[in-house]
Amino acid sequence: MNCERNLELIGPYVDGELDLPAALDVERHLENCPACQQAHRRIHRLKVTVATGAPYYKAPVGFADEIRKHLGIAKESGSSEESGSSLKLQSRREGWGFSSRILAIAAMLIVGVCLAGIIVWQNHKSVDDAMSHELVYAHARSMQFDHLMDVVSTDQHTVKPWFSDKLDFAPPVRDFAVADFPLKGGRLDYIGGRAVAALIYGHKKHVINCFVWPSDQGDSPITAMGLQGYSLVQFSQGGMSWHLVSDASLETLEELARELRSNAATSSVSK
Amino acid sequence: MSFDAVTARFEATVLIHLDSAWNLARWLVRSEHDAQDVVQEACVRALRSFDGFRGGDGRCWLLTIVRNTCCTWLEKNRRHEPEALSEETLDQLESAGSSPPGLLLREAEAEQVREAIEELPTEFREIVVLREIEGLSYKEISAIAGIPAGTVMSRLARARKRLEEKLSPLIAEEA
Repeated sequence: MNCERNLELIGPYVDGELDLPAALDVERHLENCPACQQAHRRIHRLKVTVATGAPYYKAPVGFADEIRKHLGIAKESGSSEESGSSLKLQSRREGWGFSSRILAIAAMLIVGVCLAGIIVWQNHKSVDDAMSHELVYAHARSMQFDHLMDVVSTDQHTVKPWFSDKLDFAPPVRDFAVADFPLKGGRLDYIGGRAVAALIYGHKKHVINCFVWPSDQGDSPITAMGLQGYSLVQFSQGGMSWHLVSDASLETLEELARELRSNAATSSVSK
Repeated sequence: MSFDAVTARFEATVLIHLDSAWNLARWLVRSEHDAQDVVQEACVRALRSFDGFRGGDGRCWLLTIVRNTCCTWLEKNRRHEPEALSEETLDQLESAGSSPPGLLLREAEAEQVREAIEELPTEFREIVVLREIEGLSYKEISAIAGIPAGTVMSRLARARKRLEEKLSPLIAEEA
């Protein structure tokens, strides 16, 4: 593959949009091409810079209620105070015609509930699938050409402030050398549209990437799966979502996950 | 009862994505006040055509409507497009960028990133926002913007090139 073609594919590669054969082609080219490596690093840095710097504009507080009121679907007795525009909307709704409304309602009653269930489940499933692939890509990417660590240190007191300087959250960082999981360093990565912390642990000859980001979902148990020859172990604890990826065995990752989990549990209690 | 059912489904599939809708509109029209009008209008359109919604991803469906509403709004209000940054502001930003590390620097960096994105032409900006801030796939973006996935890819590449140029001090390699 020539550089021109490869440069076109680096963006989709970093975005996790290439299938595995295409991604491997890009990686093979990157290994021997300093110019493309540089382009790759720049795009990666740009993504992290945008993810950490650009605001996510959330709807103002109370805006959802304003919308409901405006649409005439306010939950409480808001219907008595409908504004002119929502009345207009109501009359448009009548204008749909009786039969189409009946049809819509009937169709909805019959399939709505179960379909919604299936859709929600499928969406979750596909979101989870995409996320798992992204995590595996991020791990595989980190194993290429010195891309593994941004901060090299076995000292948790160096790694933690390094992260809190660059992210809007501070992951709990601890060395587990005594349990045969020495801390190697840290890296900023980019998963699911946001900048995340990646803690790097060693175990025998294996490298383990631990991706961490804040999550408002409650604590969840440790789950394990294999994907494209990698092990993926995940859990949530103390407001953080943890995702361990490595070519080490699932049992090994679960062992480290238990260490991380109990550390996260004690550090969130002590805060 | 039936109206409640429609409402409940509308809440569960569409209104829960109000933050996404707001984020996209706010980036495209570039003002809080106008975002409010646009999102409101988009929600009216969404509810009106809700019986045409055949299930699937409620977020993408709503974002498609928000995006179209924004385009209509931008067409109408072209004259109100904010002016490009003045030289003075640019100088201020640059000097802020060379100040010692600290909170000020980080805020200035964030501001530079925000402005770099805001200065992108709309057709680039929407792709960057949907991909880098909303975290959508090329396929989802292609559906929302009504363009082929290949076009998403090429626009994203061009947008990134511009952002790289504007933000080069921030993404320069630490030698």
